[in-house]
Amino acid sequence: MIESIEKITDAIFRIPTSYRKGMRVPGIIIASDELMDSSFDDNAIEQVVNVAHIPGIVKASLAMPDIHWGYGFPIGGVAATDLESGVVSPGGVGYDISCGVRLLRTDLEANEVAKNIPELMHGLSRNIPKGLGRKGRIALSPKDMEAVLKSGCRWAISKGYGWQEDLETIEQGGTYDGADPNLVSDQAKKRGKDQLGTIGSGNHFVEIQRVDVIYDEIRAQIFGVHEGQLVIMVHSGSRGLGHQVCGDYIKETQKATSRLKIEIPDRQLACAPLNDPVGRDYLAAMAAAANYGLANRQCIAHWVRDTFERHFKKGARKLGMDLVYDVSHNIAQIEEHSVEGSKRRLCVHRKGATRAFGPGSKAVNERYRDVGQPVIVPGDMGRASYLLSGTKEAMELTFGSTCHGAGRLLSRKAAKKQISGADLEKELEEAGIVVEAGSMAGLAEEAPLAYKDVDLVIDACVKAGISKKVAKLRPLGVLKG
Amino acid sequence: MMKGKAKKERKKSNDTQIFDHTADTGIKCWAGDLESVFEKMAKALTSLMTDPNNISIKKEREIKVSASDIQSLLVEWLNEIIYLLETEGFLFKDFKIIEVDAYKLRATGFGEKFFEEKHVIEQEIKACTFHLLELKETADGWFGQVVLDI
Repeated sequence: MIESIEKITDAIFRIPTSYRKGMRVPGIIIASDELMDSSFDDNAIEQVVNVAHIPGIVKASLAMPDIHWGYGFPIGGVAATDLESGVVSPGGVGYDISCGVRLLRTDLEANEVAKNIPELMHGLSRNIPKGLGRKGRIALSPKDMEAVLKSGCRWAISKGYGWQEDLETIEQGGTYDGADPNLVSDQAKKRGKDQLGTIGSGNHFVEIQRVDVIYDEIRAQIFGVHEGQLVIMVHSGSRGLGHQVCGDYIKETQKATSRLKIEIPDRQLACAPLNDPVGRDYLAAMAAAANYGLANRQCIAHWVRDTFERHFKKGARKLGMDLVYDVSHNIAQIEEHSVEGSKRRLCVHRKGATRAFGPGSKAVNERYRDVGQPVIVPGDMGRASYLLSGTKEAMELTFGSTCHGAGRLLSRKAAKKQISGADLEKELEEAGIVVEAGSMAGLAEEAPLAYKDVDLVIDACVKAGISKKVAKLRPLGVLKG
Repeated sequence: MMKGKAKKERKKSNDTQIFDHTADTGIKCWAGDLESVFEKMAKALTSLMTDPNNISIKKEREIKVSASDIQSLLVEWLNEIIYLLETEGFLFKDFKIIEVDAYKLRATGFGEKFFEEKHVIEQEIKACTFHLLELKETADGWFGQVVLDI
C-alpha cells in the first residue's frame, strides 16, 4: 500500500485514483516523511481510500497529520461533498459530535502563581463534575433541553453561565444554525438530561497551562496571549446525547444507503444524499447535538472562572479571563469554497480535524477576521498544546482545515502495559504538572507515550501551509475524568 | 494430536477476550450458543466500566431490543445496556436471554442502582459501534466481536 503513495512536497502526499477502482477523487495526506515512516498505520490510510468512494465527494479525501484508524472515516479526515449530488455521513463527523476545545486567557503570570496551582486544580476538581456514572450539576427540564439544542451557548449565557461577549469568540457565534430539537430522539435527550456541564472521560480534560513560546507576536496580541501567561484549556464534547444522535442516524443512513442502493466499500460509510430527507434530518439533529457540545463547554468554562474567583477572591473579569476561542473538531458544516475557480457550497465533514479559515474569510468572527481563525490543538498532557491560526493556503488545499491533536500511536491496552497510572502521575508531578484524575487506568491510557509527537504533527501542518504557529502551551495542571 | 486440537477448540468455544483498538476497546467472544454470546458480551461490557464484584443483585429489569439483522441486534443490545446505565443508573451484574432471533431479543438483567459510595465507573463506554462487527456461527457454536467507543 505505502508504495502507491506519491510525494508531492515534503508535507503533501497523494494516493492516485488509479490505486483502486471506485475512487472518485485522490487521497491527499498532510504529513512528513517521519510521520509516514513511523506512525501511520495502513488501516487509517485504507480508510482515506474508502472515503474517496463516497458519492459527490469533491477534490480529495483528505487526511491530517494526526490521522488514525476510526470507524469508516479515519480520525483526522476531511471530506467535502457537493450539496446537489453528494451525501452526508454520520461516520464523517464521529460519535462525539462537537467534541472541541475552548481556551480561556487570564492576566495572571504562570510563574507568579505557581504555588497556587495545586489548590486551583483541587478547586476545579470539586467544581467541575466529571460525570462518570454520576449526574452533573445541571438537570435540564424538557423546555431547557429544547433551548440548549436550538441555541447552544446563547441558552447557557441566558442562564448565567458565562458572558454575553463570549459569543464573539466562539465558532459560529455559539450557535450552529439549522438545529432541530425535534429530530433528536427521546433517548438522546434522556442521556443528555443530567450531563450538561460534565467533562467525561477518555481524552477529555481541563488543563491549566503556561504560554511558553510566542511564534507570531501580531496574532498573539490579537488573540490576547503573551509569553509567561496562565491560560486554561477545556476539551470536551456532547457527551451521551451526541453519541446517541450519531448511533440513531447511523441506523437511519444505513437504511437510506440500502434503499437508494448507494455503493460504499465499508458499511460504516453509511450515508444519505444531502437532498434526501434523511440527509437533511441528520444535519439538523447533528447541529442540535453540536449546540449541546458548545453549551457543555460554556458551562464548564463558567465553573473554571468561578474556581479562579473563589481562589483569588477577585472577579473573573478583573482576572482578565476572556475567551480566546472555542472550536469543534467533530462536525459537518455547509460552507462556501472555491473549487477550480468557481464558488461552490459544500458539506464539509471534519472528524478529528479543525476548521482553520484564513484571513479575510467572512465566516471568521469579526475580531479575528483580519488575521485568520484561531485553532486550538490539544497535544498530550505531558508535552504541549498549540494555538495556531488558519491560512489562505488551508482554504485552497484542505477546505480550510487542519489537525486537531497529536493523534494516538498506542492503543489503550498497550499504553497501560508500558506505564501504570500511579507511575505516570509521579512522572508528571516530577515534571511540575499537578494531576487530578478520577481513574488511574484512564490516566495511563492517556500517557504521552500513547500519542504521536504533537510537534511533528504541527510542523507538518505549518510546512503544508495550512496553519501558522501562534503559541506553544505547556500543561501545569491536568484534570481528567 | 486430534485430542490436543479438540482441547484448544473447546477452550475457544467458551472464551471472552478484550482487545485493543487504537483509541477504543473491543470484545471478542466465543460461546456454545447464541444466547451465551449475548450474555457474555454484556458481562464483558460491564466489566470494562466497573468492577462487577462490587455489584450486588438486588433488582431485575426486563430488556427488549430489536434490529434489522442479527449483527445489528448485538450492537443494539450492548447500546441498550449503556443507555440504561446512563439514564436509569442501573448497573448489571448478570443477564439471562429469554428469547433471541435475527431481529429481536428479550432478556432479564440482574443488578442494582449505581451508588457513588459503592461503585466506581473506571471507564465510560459511550457506544457500541459497527466497526469490525462480527456475529457468526462457528463449528463450536457462535463468535461475536464488537468495538466500543470510549
